[in-house]
Amino acid sequence: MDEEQLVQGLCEQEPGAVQELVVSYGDRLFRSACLLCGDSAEAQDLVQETLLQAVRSAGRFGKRSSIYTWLHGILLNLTRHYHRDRRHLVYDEDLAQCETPEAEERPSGLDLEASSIAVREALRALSPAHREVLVLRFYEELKLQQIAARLNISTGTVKSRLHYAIAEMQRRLPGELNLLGASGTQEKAER
Amino acid sequence: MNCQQFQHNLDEYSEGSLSPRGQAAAEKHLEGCADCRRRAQDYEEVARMFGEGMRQATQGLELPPQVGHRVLAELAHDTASAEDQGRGGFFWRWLAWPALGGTAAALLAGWLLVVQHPGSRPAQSQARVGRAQIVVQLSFVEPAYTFQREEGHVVDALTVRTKVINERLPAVARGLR
Repeated sequence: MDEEQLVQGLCEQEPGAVQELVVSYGDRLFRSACLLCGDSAEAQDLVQETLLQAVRSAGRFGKRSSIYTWLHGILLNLTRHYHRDRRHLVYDEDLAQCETPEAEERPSGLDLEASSIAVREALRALSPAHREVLVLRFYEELKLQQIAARLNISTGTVKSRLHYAIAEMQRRLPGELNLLGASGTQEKAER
Repeated sequence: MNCQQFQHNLDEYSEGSLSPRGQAAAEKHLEGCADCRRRAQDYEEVARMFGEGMRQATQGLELPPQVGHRVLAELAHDTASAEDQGRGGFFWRWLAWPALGGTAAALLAGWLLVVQHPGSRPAQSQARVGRAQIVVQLSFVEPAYTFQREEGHVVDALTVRTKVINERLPAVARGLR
């Protein structure tokens, strides 16, 4: 099914087209959502809502971008709402006192190499605004102007957030992974 | 291009989005500046490391199948709800409303007939002869229909309101002066 047929099928909410959308883009969206929100369960909800909104608004897909770009734009908006809503969560003392499983007991499915764990944890410690520019720049490999357009901010703001995010990531990452030491010399991590 | 300019445009240089002239100026500056050359190499390495780290962190992650099932189920529910509303709309649009409207029209006609006919005996509280005027009081029922979604179903409710209007008409008909 090519893109045009897929969009046409989505406009009519054909189950085959919806299934094709899930199969073709679900995994990629899910990985990006995991990086953006830092939680695989929330990422599932975000992707589910992204796909639903995409199907319901398929008629407004103007073919100005690829389907994945369009879907990722919806995902970004939903992730921002998710982060905004989380700020208003009421602190539940009972819930906080429940024992949470240790990180290694959670079936996260994420790669356990030290570097990827370190990057994941450092990423999660960033604010949502800094995390999203980092993910868009180095994971989605978008250019500065594309990121600015996607987030509806200026290129200068993108650069500012990116520099801060890079500095924070390097500060949080273990020394052996930090390539820019105080002296400015490079020390490559031995694998 | 000097060091400050190069470092200000390091992001653009790294992603290759400088203009051809800007790119050439940057390359020429790098030929003669070891510090900026090292910064550019470090930036490339940082980009590679972060990109690789994020790809490794998400390697093998797959969207659970139940997410797709939930999407299909939610869309099927949308379709079912739309069909329910359509059926309810047909009933009220083509059957109930015309019946209620006809009833209200019949009541209105009946009242006017009683009030205007010279041989009829108007209800005492509803018409009196003043100085060349007749006060007509008319009451009728106005149906109001509402829809409400409850637990995935559409519940409809019908309420009626009685409306009363008063009108002063000139008493020009024969027998009323």
